[in-house]
Amino acid sequence: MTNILAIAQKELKSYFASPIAYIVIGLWALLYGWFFTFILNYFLRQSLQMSQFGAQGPQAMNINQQMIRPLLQNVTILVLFLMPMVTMRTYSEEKRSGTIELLLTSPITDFQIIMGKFLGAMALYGVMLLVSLIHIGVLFAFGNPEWKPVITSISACCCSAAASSRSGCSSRASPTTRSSPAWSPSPCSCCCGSSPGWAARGDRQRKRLRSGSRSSTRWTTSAKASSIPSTLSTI
Amino acid sequence: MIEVQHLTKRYGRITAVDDVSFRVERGEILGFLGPNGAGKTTTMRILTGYMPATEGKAIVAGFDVFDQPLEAKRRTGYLPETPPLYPDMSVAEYLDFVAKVKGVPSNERRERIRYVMERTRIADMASRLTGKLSKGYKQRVGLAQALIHNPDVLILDEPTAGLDPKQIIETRQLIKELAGDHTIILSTHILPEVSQTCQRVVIINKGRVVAVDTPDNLTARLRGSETMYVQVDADGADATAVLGRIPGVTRVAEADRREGLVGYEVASEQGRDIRRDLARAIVASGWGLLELRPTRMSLEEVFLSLTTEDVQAVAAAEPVPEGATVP
Repeated sequence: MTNILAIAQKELKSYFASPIAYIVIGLWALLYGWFFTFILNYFLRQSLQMSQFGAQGPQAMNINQQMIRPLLQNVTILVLFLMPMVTMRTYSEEKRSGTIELLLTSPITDFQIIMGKFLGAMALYGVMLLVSLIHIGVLFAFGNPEWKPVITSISACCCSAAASSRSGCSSRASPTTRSSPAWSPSPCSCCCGSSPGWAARGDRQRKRLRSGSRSSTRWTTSAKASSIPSTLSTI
Repeated sequence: MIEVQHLTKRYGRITAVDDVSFRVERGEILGFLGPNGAGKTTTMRILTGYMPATEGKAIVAGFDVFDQPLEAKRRTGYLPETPPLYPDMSVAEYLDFVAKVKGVPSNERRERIRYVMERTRIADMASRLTGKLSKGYKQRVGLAQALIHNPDVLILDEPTAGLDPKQIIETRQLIKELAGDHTIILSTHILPEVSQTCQRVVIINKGRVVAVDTPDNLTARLRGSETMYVQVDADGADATAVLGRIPGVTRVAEADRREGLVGYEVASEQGRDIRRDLARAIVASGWGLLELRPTRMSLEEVFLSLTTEDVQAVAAAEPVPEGATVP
């Protein structure tokens, strides 16, 4: 276990020692922020229309269903590309610099090496997740989403990231030195990629009943909030 | 300590290592000698468990490298040709990482790191990034890395490559000091290094073991006959006939000629000292004797003759001393 953690720690450190972690996190924050503002704008416009609509009085919009679900659905596609970008170098770089000889001649199994590298990549994803939690936090501060589907979605996001970073971490089996196959998303990661949206959809019925009237009264405050994430994303 | 039996490694149709067998006893330093592409690195990589062999068996510290790789690796320290350093780690961080990966217990880790840094004289570089170190220091950090888990067997692939003369001497000294507690295999193409540090030499060429012996025996073995070099001021006359008439002389050949001075190589029967007769004959002919010395075949020549095809046949024809193998 010590050696797995040692490799994971080394991996995470090497991400932050090179520009790669900063580029990936920056790109993530930018695109996540863009999706967030885009979907939030759409959500607000819809709410406005709904409130002016019909004689039956104001209709409710579900923030989980109409805002968080499409957001995470879109963002998962990003993970699908970003995580292999991060992990595709892990083996080829070791091979190029010859440090792979150290790992392969150490008393550790291939599984431990791969696990270490995988956990390192997941730790980087954890940092990326922290950035995205700011946006979700804003929704919680100004809106009234349900937390259970959000947690489910985020853990599904983690699974999806795990699946797509796997493609880079285990690319040792591939005969190429520069592990280009890391870019080809596996069926496994495609499967998981669709799960966050699917999870958020989970208890749609229940939510519609619950959060109906509350979110409609809150929409004016969320309008102000929309400027915050866009500035965040540009940082 | 190390036993290699009929090791063969093929890459597709190329045979990198071909039926190599040798043994290394505990505490011994074995020199692995051969030209580029002879299969030295491949053999070492197989011994360290980096890659599997196509055929054959390798036992390191009592464990089969293929059947019990973890046990064998736990007892092996390996310094590859290029030290396996992570450029963005400091020396201390790097050694700590290696100690963890090699399974050094946490209560001994600090002590081992301190010990290897002292041993390889890198203590003053502890906080420097390994990527910023000079070649010599990188090599030493590589050596420190190989020593960190106190392995029984050390496998060093060209440990002195790229070092300055002072560092080479220091490294050789260090390797000699380590020999008591560790069994060492080192590869090199620097020949004096072998004669200075190693107790036994394996000469390998084109994947095959050409000879296994002590450096002294190897030198003696190829000498076969005694050869003298004489430089004569013969005023343009040819001394070959005169020298050839001396009893015991088997062959006379002109070695060099400059400004009227002629150098001859005179071979004689083994065990017969012809120096007095040589000198007397030259002086009696009225020529000037300027130089007279025995030519001893250096390890370099042994090496060259063993690794070049045509001379190899000659070497094989000569009586082979015990312990040597010539295919």
